Amino acid sequence: MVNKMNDRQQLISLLTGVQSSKKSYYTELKKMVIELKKKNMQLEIINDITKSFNIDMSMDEMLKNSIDKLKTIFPVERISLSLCENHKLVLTNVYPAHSLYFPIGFVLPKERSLYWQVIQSLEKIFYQIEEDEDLYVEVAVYNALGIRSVLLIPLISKGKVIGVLSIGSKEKVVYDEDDLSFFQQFCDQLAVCIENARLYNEVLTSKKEWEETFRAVSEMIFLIDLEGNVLRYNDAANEFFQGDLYKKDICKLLSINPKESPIVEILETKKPVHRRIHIQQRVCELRSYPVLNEKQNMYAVIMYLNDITEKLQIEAQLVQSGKLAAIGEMAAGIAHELNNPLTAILGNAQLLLRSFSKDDRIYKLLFDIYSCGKRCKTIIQNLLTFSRQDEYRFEDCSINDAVEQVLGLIGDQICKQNIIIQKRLDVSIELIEGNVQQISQIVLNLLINAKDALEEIDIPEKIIVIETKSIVEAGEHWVVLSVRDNGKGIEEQYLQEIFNPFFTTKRPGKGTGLGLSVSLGIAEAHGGTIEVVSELGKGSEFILKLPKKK
Amino acid sequence: MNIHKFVMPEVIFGNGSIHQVGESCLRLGATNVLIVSDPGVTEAGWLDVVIKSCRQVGLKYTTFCDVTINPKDEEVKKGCEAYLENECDAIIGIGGGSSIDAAKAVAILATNGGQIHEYEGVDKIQLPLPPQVMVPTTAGSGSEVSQFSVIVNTKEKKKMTIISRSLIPDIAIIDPETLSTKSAHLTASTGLDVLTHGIEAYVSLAATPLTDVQAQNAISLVGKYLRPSVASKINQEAKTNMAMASLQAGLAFSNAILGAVHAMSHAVGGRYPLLHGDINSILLPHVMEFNLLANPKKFADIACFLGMDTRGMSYMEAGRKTIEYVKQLAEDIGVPQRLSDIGVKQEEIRKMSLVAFHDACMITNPRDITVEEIEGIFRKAW
Repeated sequence: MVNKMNDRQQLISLLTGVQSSKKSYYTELKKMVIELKKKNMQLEIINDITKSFNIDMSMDEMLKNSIDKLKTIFPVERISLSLCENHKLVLTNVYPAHSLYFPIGFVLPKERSLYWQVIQSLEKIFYQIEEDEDLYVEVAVYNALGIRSVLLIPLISKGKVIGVLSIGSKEKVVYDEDDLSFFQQFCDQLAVCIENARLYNEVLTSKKEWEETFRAVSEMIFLIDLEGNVLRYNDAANEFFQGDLYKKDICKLLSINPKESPIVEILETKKPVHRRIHIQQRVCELRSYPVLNEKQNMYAVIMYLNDITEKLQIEAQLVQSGKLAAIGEMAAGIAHELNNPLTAILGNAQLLLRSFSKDDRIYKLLFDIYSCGKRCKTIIQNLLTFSRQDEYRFEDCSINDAVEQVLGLIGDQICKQNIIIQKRLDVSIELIEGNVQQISQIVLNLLINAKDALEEIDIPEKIIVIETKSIVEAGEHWVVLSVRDNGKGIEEQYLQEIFNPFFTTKRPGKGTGLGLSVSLGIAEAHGGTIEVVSELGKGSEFILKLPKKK
Repeated sequence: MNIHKFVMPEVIFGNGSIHQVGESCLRLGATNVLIVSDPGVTEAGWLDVVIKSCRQVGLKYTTFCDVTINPKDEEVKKGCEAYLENECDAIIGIGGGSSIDAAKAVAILATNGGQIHEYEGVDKIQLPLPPQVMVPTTAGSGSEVSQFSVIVNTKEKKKMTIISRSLIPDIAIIDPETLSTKSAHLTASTGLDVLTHGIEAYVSLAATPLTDVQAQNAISLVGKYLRPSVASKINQEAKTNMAMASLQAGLAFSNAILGAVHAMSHAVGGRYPLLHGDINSILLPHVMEFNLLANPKKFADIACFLGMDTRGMSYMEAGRKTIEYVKQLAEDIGVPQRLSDIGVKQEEIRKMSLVAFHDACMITNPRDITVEEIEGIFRKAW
């Protein structure tokens, strides 16, 4: 009966609503605002993860960021991330750092592991930790850190499980469906980011490799847009041109006439372009290739520039010495063949000369035969001497000897072209240490060039001055040979290039473009140089400087 | 009861106060109201008054006027559809208890969803309701201030009583002028309903000093003004006082709850489309006779409220006088005297007794009651 009474009292208080109040929109709104705030924060967290990947934030920073935000809506004290690497589960990140128990890089054992259970089941596990249990290896960690409940979520990217995220709380929390689905979303996003970061790093590494390759190539490489502006270039290019080349015009850079721009040519032909160009006394090989996009439209040009000056010089010397070797061999053969008949001619002419008095008309004729034969013999002798190129022995020699040798060879030929050779040799000239044949070659080349420069012009007096002297420059003793002509001179724009192998302004068949380059090579091999002073229309002077014998 | 509580809405009382309905909605933040009403009210022109008031303040509105006497669950459902379709954000109920109860039920479904029968009982409403402004046009139901809504469950043929604090409207506008359009019969019927509310609340187990004062006032006003009010449509003094009686009785029973009369009346109303006041007026004296034993003093008090001289009488004697008074009043104003007169079938009494026994209003009835005793009362009244 008492019970019944109580029941009735309870019913009456229910009816009169002592314990109830009118529901208010304020509380409803508050609830909604709290829920919205939570949802907003959740969105913010997920958004943050996506963003942090983009700005290349480290995983530690990302976790720190996430946990700070998570804390505002959930009692989260610790986040740890373990990733699958080669069928192993490795602890990779823990935040905060002081909640580390196993070291980073710790391989989680498969037995009695909660984490592995998540990996294998692909299901979230929510685990409340009891004080004195040790069912799982991870529990010891949580006990030591005072973590009371933990939510473990598999990270799944493209259907593949890549790791486990553990979210630990120091209190026994309860997550509802919405919370769990948020955590799932959070982890899905995280998985995508981790996977993306991995792929991104892969791409970055291979890109780096490519870039390093590009940079390491010793040839200059340029990527050029269709307007001819440099987009990228490698270290070799940077070293050669010195300075920032970005957006520089390639034609200006390479001193190419814009009308002959390889870019223009490639645009027209869509085919690779090969050229040999001269830049700053260097010879470079230029190769350009069109760069096509997926639609086979050209959007840039890749340009290779290879400095082949040294290579050409060696080549030129090889060619020259090959030529000389051939001439030498031939000359030796001819000389030998000619020597015998000449000996006969000279011998017989000498014998006959004795039979005639000097007044005799025949004597004069015979003497002519004799002296011409003699000259032939000298020429042959010089030819033989000059062509003995095989033995480049350095010995003490006089530059004057070289001059005489060359003049003996081609002096008459030059004089026949109405060119006056003025020889001003310093008889007390210092000796040099070198190979007289090679020095002669320089003299020969300079003389031929001087002669060629005079050949095509029409002036009353064509003069070549050959001068030798000793000078002292910057405390060094030099032996100088100067070959000066009053010919047509050299255009200023070519002055930079005349020493480049295969560069010539002479008409085809006349010059090979090897002479000066080989000469310079020889001069340098002797520790000397060749300099040029020239004025268009007035003449040129080539100065060979060699160090005097030590 | 040591701890008690008294709740009521904002009340606007007075002639012409109906014109404030639009303004009142605006104050509650409404922009688009659903007006729930019935054809009788529409015909009397009160709906137009409400619409005009809404228009004047620039409120958008939708009307739902298909409420019948003893509102049905299906009507509520349709009302709710109208509310949602038109994206309303507040509800006006205008009319008798039926329209106001229906308006409240629509409000429940509008924000809580589901079916109305899910909310039957005490405190089943979880979410707040839209702002509600109620304008009663019959002095009787008290629904405009109460936490009740009574809706007929058409499937189970019974009235469902929904009780919740949230059902207390935000604003009740009581304009005595609206009573002038009521017929004499309706005035009589609703007047006796007011008396029933007053008496049941006064003797209720949940009565408190706060409800007692309301009940007392309501009872004495009915005693003085019901007869003249029935007699004349234009007796302003009688109408105003009956409106006040209705309001105060409403406040009393909303907080003190009712008793066996209403429990039994609900059982009848669930089966017959009868006026609530008519059923109450028949059952009231019989239930009073049964309940007298539980609290003779309070029944004796009522005799005083009704202006009777009870000097020298025992409580029981005075209580019996009260019952006689009620019977006389019913006879004077010409309301039905027997259930058989209004078409209730005898063979249904057993079933109705069972339903009444389980009605929420029975909890606060002052005297313990059995199904058989209910049946006995029904038979006496039949």
